[in-house]
Amino acid sequence: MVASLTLILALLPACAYKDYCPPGLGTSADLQSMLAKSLESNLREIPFDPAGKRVDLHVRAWGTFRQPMGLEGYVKSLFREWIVSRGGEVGPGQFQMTVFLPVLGHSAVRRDLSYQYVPIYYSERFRTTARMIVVIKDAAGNTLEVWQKGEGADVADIFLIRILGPFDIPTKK
Amino acid sequence: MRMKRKRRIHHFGEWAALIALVIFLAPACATKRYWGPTMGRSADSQFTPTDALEKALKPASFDQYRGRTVWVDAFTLTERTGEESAEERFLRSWLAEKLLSQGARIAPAKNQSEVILDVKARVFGVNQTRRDFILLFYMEKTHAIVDLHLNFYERESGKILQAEDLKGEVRYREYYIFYMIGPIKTIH
Repeated sequence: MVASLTLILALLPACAYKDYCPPGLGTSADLQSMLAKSLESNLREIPFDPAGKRVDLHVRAWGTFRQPMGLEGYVKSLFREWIVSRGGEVGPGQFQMTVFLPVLGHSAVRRDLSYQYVPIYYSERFRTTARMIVVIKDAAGNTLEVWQKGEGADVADIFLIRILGPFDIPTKK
Repeated sequence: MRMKRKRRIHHFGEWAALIALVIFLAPACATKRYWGPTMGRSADSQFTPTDALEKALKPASFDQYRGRTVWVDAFTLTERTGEESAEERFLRSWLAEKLLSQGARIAPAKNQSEVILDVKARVFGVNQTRRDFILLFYMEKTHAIVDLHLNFYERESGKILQAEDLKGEVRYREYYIFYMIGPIKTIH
């Protein structure tokens, strides 16, 4: 009797699931965190020194959000801080900087490995893609620089026998 | 022969008892469900981020803006149907109240302010994990994270007066034992 019960419990181990079900949950914390990291890592590599320059900043986004104006506001705030913290100013003047975000989205891949209905391994791999194009022009409208970068973030949550975990494995920074 | 028959009956009895136990335990299984969009955002997904926000803002001091006129701008990466997301509206109002309670004044318009508080929420949301130890145990965990980056700008000069990172987390768990007894709630 005890052996049979143990066998049943061994065959039906604990199942852990990560649930992403908007609108019940809103935009998941993982997704927000990864989108923010993708944007910040792209920003670090812009080959333009704003020190002592006055930059007219424009952002155009296209992507995952139903209303891109929210995303544009976030990115504009990020760039504003980047320019000011490096000694520049934001406003109409010497330079015009237009930031295009043609891609800012994510995909999730779920993997299940089981043997004889016994779940051994389960993972959710979450990948974001952020592509950024920065166009810098002078006051006369001449293009000085076009810079583009496609940087994403990649994180996998791994569960072993569906009860141990999640173990966060960043696969790419 | 009789012994064999007895053993068979005994085995049959064991299995019958086991099946009866499973049948007894299997019904009345509790499962928390959210049916969006009719139910809207779940209560767990609302109270945990607000608790996390309160935790994140606990160490923040806005004393140096006492008597000054402040405008609050909030930006998040959350879904929206209009220009401003629900999170942004909430965050903006909550921070305005915090500033007011510490002696700052809220500007009626951005161009009438002395200081602009620019808040970027890298994260303002929840992750939810469900665990089932079938027949014995079922748990739903709501993990709320609030990760804010605050910048105070002087409106006239556009210079950064202060930059600060604030983070708060709340973990809320609901357990059901045998899928029937519960919910047993814990919050950290």
